[in-house]
Amino acid sequence: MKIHGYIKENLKKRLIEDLEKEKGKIVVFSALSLSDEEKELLYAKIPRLKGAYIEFITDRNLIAGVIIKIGSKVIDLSLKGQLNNLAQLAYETNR
Amino acid sequence: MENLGIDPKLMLAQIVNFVLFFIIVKKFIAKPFIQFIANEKKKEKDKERILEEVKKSEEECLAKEQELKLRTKKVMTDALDEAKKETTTFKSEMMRQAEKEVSEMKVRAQKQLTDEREELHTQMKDQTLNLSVSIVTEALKESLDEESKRKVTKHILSNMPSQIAVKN
Repeated sequence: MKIHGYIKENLKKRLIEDLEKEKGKIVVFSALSLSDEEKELLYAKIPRLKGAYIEFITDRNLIAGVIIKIGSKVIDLSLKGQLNNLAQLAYETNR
Repeated sequence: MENLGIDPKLMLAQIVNFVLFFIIVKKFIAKPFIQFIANEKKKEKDKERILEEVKKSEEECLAKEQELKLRTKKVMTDALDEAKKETTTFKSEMMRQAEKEVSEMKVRAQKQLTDEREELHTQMKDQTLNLSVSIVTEALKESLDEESKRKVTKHILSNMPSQIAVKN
């Protein structure tokens, strides 16, 4: 299927804009909503987060801990993530 | 002579008649007859000779037949021996081939069995692992209350390295 040049150009522009938006976006997932003390601990460890706009999302499936998403980069510090890492390690050991 | 009742003229005529008869018989009957007899004899001799030749030929043929029979028997015996020998060799070869194939099949089957066992073992371990992780996840979800979760989160954040690795 041939895409019209105008539509193609618009799609490309929209994609670049979305990527730019996503690039600076910071999202923190946690099992429970983070208290101020916990947030301070987080800022102390990652100074880049201080003063930035952060979206906090609660996800009970994480059990405990947090997942920090900065643009396309992800820092998984959740208990669920740790269990997954453990399972992955065990899988690799099995092979 | 006349008194004896013999007529000399008649007698002469009869003698002449007899001579003429003799000459004619000799010339036109006796000679071809003798020739015919001679021919018949010759034919008889030829027949005998041919018969002799035929008999001789028959004997030769019989001898040849006998010889041929013997030769045929010998050839057949040789061929049979050769065939027996070849059959034995072929049988041995077949047996060796079959043994080799069976051995290879056995090795393949053993390898397949080992592979399948290992695969099964790995699958079992994977399933056990999945189940264990699911159980632990569910157990943690059920057992950890809000306070415990906060404690764990705090512990994680406190022990988080300053230069943390960022993964994609």
